[in-house]
This record gives sequence, C-alpha cells and structure tokens, in this order.
Amino acid sequence: MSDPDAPPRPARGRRLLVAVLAAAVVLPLAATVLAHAFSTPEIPFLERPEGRCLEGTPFVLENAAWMRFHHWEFLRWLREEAVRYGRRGVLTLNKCRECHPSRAAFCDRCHDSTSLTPDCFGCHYYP
Amino acid sequence: MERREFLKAAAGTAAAAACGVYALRVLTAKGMEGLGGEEPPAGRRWGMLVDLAKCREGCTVCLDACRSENNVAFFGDPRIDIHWIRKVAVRKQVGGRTEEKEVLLLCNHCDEPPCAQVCPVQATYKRHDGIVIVDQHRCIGCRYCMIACPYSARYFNFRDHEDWPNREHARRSHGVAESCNLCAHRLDRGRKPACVEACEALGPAALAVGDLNDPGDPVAKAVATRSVKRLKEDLGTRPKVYYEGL
Repeated sequence: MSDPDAPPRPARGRRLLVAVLAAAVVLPLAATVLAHAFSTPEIPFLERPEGRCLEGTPFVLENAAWMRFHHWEFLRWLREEAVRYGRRGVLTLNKCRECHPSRAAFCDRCHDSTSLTPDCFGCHYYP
Repeated sequence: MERREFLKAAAGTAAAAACGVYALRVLTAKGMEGLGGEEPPAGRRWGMLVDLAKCREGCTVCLDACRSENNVAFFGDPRIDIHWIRKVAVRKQVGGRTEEKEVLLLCNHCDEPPCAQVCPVQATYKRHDGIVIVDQHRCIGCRYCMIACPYSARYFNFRDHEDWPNREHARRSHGVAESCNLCAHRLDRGRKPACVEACEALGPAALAVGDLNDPGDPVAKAVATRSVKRLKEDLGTRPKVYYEGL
C-alpha cells in the first residue's frame, strides 16, 4: 500500500546511475584491500641467514613476515620489559646482531625505502 | 545471489582476512616465560655499602670499571664530563686540625627520589627493587632532575661522544640526563655491578651491593649492626647507599 503523500520514487535510470557511481568508488577500494589482505608481501632484498631465527633459545621466531611489520612494536615491548620492569631475557638487539650482522643489509634497506629514521642506533651498537 | 547473502559473504571474507593477519603463529615457545626474561624476585631492595676504611687513596679502579662498562662519556672538559661514580675530597675539622678524606660519590638511589618526583615524563623513576633509573628512551633532556638531586649525581649529555668501550651495552646520545643505575642490567642477570666486581678483583672489596630486605644478606646485616651513615639524611630522601667510616 503506497502512501499517496510520499515523494515519487526516482526513475529507473537515475537509480542505475547511482549504483554505477557507488560501484566505481567501492570496487577499486575493495579490490585494493582484498589484494593486500591475501597477498604475501615479497621483500626479497632483506638479508636472510640460514636456519630459523633464535634457534637454540627457549623460543623460536616462526614468522618473518609478522616480524617485518611488527618488529618495532615487539622491540618496544621488550624494551619496556627490560628497562621498566627489569625482566631481561635472551632477546636483545645484540641477539639480532648475532645472525644479522649488517645493519645496512638488515635494517637500513627497509628503513631507507620507507624513509624511516629510528633512533635505536645512536645508543645501541649495530654496525 | 541475494544482496543480503552477498553482504554476509563479503563481511565474512573481510573478517577472516583481518584475523588472518594477526592470527599468524609468531613464536614457538618451549617456555613463554623466557620470552621477555625472568620475573625478578619480588620484594628486593638493592642497597650499597661503601667501606671508606678499605677504600684506597688515589685508586680509581671502580671509576674506570664503571666508565668501560657503561660507556660513560669522558671529554676531558670538566664542565661537561659525566661521572656515574666519582671521588671527592671531604674536609672536616677534627679538634684543631683539618682532616681530608676521599669519599666515593654516586647516585644514592633514594627511597624518596627527588629526581623522580620532578621528572615531567616519568623517564626517571624508582624501580620495584629500589633502583632509581633513567629511561633514556623517554628523557626529554629538561634537566629538572639535575636541579632536584641534592647529591649532584646527575649529569647531562651536552654532546655525543665517540668512545664505545662496551658495545654489548648502550651508550647515551646527546640531550639526555644520566646517572648511576647500580648496573641494573647486571643485577637483573644475577651479576654484581662493575664497580663492585672491580674492587673485589683488586682486593680491598670496599664496595658491596646487597638486598636490604633480606636479613641474611651481608650488606643488610652490616647496615643493621655496624655504624653506617648516609649522606644528607636530614633531607628525608632516605638514600640506600651507606657509608662506613665516613
């Protein structure tokens, strides 16, 4: 039962136009988001030593991809644990250095390409 | 496909993708407690005992050990040199004559640290085990703590310095305050501070570090039974560096 006082529904052609415009906005966005969500990031230029990370310690770092995007959060957490609460374990920047001895090959390539300048290395030794 | 069904499927896919990113297995731990390090025993309260009767005149072994352990800057310019531990000559009138004595000065790790009270960013704070420590990651270089410290135990990095004797340990960059942290990184791993170790290796063992809350600890026993003094006790800062023979 349609209300006689209600405004008339837009014409079919106009609805189609709106739908096409909305699709033009939403689809590229969705495609980008989905592409990022399902792609495995390829960063081939980082130095990768043989073996698994932190082998021989009480824990083993399994996922390099996670580390690539979250290492700074992880390191910051380790830093707070060590500096604020005195919980110092085997994991330190020095431990990273044992397998990844070159800062230029391990840290700087990504930081340079993303134009980041973390100030870790003013005080922490990493050649 | 109905629109409702399509939306449901799309939302499900997006949620799965979002979860997938964070649900990756990152660490395989045989014991997760080893990840960030051991939980230090609760209720510890570190204190230091300096036996000035054993301390040798003109000896700088502890000072040098501190410098090389903690990468403390030395520029050769007394205006900006940094000393975590230093020796000063104290003069006092005994009867008619003046006695001069060398006294080791370092951060007193007060129980009521004025430096921590004034720090606007909580970079300086008292740890659970009583060590007063500067978190150089947070320090903004305002130097309030230097003004607040009644023992002048705080120093500021007016410049970067090149020396880096202990590369396993961090140095400080330009623009942060620093002071003795009782070698917290060593105490946390069950080792003695560098100055204590150096003095024991030399022989006199004038320095000792111990848990003041543990009645069986030699330092706590000495503090409880022997005649010890603290610096500027009238200020109410309650230092944890005790001097014997001051």
